[in-house]
Amino acid sequence: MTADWSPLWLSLRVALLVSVLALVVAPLPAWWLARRSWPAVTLFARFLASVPAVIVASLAVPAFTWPVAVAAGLVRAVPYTLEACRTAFQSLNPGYVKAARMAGASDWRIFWTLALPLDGRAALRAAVEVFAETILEAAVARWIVGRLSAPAAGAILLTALAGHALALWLRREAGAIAEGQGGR
Amino acid sequence: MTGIRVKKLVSAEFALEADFSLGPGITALIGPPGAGKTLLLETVAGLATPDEGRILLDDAILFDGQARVNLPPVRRGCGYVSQADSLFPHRTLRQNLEFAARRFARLERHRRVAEAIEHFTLTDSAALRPADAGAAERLRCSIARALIGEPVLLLADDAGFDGALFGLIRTHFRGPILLAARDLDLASTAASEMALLDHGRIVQRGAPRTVLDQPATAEAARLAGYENLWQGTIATLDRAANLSRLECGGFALSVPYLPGHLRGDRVWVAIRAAAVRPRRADSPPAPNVIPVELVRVAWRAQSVRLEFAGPIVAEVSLSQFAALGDNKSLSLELPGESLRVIP
Repeated sequence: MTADWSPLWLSLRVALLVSVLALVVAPLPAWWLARRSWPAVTLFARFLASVPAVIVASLAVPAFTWPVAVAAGLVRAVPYTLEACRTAFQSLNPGYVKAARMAGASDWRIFWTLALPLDGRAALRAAVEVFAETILEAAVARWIVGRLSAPAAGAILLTALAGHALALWLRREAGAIAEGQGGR
Repeated sequence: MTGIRVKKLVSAEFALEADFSLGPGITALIGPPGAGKTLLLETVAGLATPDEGRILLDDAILFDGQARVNLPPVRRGCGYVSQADSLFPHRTLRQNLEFAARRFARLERHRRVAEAIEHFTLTDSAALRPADAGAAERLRCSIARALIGEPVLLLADDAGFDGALFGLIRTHFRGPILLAARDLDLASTAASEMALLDHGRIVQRGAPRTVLDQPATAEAARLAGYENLWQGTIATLDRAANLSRLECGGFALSVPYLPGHLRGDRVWVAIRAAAVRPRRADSPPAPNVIPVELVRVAWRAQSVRLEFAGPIVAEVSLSQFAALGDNKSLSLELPGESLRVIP
């Protein structure tokens, strides 16, 4: 009997789409929010980022298809990536921003030329974490609504583990770079 | 005219309140960390907005709180060298300069960048990123970046300048410089005007020699580097003998006659550590000699710093210290001509 690999491909598709869309959507509003103090927005974003939205949707939505899973995944992924980017952008050296302003750079240009190149790794790291979380969530949702073969479940678990390991490595790399810059 | 009059409430404990005009040379803002030097420079640069006031640069209004004029930094004609290393770390020194010149047309931009690299001797390091360049090259590049737009005024924030660097800047920039500094020696050497800033307010300003030699208040004396500062009472005023006697807690001091004072007036007495003369106990008697107890000896590269109970601090050369011999029984001479009496 051949194993049913469809849950793996489905979870991969959902997780990839969710993480790529979050990566595209989140950084710009995060840059805008980074220079404002809105605790209510932060609280709401952190709340959304803590909800396993794909699993909730699989239980709540009768016609649970993969586009629904992607939409539900974004409910969690966008606030999570946004918060990660916002925190990273807030740590951008104010001296760089001031120097850019003295040169007449707009907020938009500072975002593209300074914030993204210097702190964009945070967005990438968040997207990898989102991928690892979402692929697990999608697998659990699949298990709730239908069948999940053992080999597919194993492959999904391994993929999620690899995603978390990559995110951890990226985090350590970022720490090492920050330490190197601080030590100059 | 170039004048700065700004007020900015930062917190319940700290407000910036400055009103002064800038001469054509270098004006040094002296103050401890947290005095508001950087904030003052940033209000002029347009990086911080005052609550009220007016900033004029060559008669052009940069900021006017009442008329709601607040020009953006790029239109203010100011170059700004920040205290911290602010070169973009992911760009080479040349690219940093290009970024600052991006508002100019392509050919003009190339000309300005090439000139800046040549003037500030960055040819060998232009292709390096800041992390790979030396500290001196990074500082020269920061200055070149601030000057690339040919500003009218250069704002420099305690960036580690030295006399040679000022010489280099002056070769390529003749306009006024507002320099925030902590180094009194550098400020008095380079600046034509000095302003002492304490807790957001200018406590004294004038020619460096005047400010350093004649502090107007106790705060000004502290900022001007007078380590020894006591409060005293005028006990005697003798115009004929040109003599005044001050009671300062445990000791008395004689100074020249103090016009405009009355007996019983409370005054501050200040003297620099380098002007205090430690003496052996068996030295011949002299005026203004007080017995002291030595608490600590700190060796410096070219001098020795002696801390006495009181507290009183003296700084002597290595040879003077050696001549003191057994320093267990010392007295201090506080020469009248070095004592500053502050109302």
